[in-house]
Amino acid sequence: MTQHDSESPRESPRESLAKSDFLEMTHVDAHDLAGYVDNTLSAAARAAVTAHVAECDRCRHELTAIRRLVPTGGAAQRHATVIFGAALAAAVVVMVFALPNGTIRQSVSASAESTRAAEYGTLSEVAVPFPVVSPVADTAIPAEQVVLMWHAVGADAAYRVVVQDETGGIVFTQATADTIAPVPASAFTTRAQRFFWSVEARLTDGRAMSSSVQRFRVR
Amino acid sequence: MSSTLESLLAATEYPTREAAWAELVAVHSRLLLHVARDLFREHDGAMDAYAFVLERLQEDDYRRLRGFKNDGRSRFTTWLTVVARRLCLDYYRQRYGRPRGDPTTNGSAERSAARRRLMDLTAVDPELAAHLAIADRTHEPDADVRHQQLRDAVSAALSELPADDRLLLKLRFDDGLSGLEISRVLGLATPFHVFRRLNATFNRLRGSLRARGVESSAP
Repeated sequence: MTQHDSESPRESPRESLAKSDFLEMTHVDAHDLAGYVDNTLSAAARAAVTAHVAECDRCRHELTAIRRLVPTGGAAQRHATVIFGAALAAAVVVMVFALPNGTIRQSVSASAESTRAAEYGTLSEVAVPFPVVSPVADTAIPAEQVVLMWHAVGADAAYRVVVQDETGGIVFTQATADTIAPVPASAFTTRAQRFFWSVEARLTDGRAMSSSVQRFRVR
Repeated sequence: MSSTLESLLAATEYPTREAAWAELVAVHSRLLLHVARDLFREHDGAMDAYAFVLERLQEDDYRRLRGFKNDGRSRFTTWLTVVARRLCLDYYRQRYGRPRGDPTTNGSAERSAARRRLMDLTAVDPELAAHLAIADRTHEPDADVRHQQLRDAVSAALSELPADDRLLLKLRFDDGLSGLEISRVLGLATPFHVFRRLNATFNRLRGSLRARGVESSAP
């Protein structure tokens, strides 16, 4: 660490922090600050930087500024893109089901998958669909009795359910820690229409999972 | 390490070195301009800062660039962002004096308000928080003493928190960052994780304050 200068210091964060205890206030060096943002520091170095920026306004403000300047490329973005990818996939499924031609369905679905794989990695890295409990298989349900249920995918997972109509419009969405979500009848302004629902799970370690997309009807 | 940097540092002949420098500038100009524009909103100011950064990176036989350590701690581009921003701040100080938003400038009123919010949030009975505002306006003889005692209790409780919790609270309450911004700074997957951790930290603080005999935010 060094007083804000663009040069690199020779000492490790731990050594620098020790120095700050006894001599003068030192600051996080460029490598450690960059490494903190890149999430590439060792656990010990990261802890040392954390301890410093928790007390040093100048370094904390610099960290915030650098974080803002550097494009997000770590776990957070991967998570966000996975969520976006899952939502995109759900929308594609809605559109695919609405199409009359089976061949087109397959090609659209395959195209969407290959696009996602190219953009985010292999499909297994992107999202593993997990099964839901109900409603499934195009079940017809009174609008007042629509309750979405799914299996838990991990302790303390957080979920977001989305119900879409045939045009892809979102008619209901809710964040919950539970594995059940009643949908108010007011969400269904039209009857005898198909709806599609899915749930996204966010695990405490930052991973995301998306359920399979299911159809149901309201009557 | 960046291949452009490797080429530059490996070049021994003047023409080769100039060509390598030109290539490095071409590859990273967008990044450097992005950093300069972040601090200098006017075009001319940003371009002057950009030129200053290039000049400083070149001087003393690329001393600053040679300072990059390819030890896996950080990516070159993130490190360059940190260095370039520090050089831009040097330029700003040379030209205008103390930079905008410098954390060493007086922000005591805002900090006071932020600390008050934190005290309210950690209060056992949030409804009693209103008493704090009332007490501020009525100058009871021992009000200042009780305020100071409450502040001391909160400060002591904060100092016992782990560094990452203290950093979380600083980012939220001293710096006023949003959940999304904090998630990016700390590498958390989503803002949801930020608020979950905040809640856990509040609970720890409440417990610590109770142990000190503080039952509400009312002094």
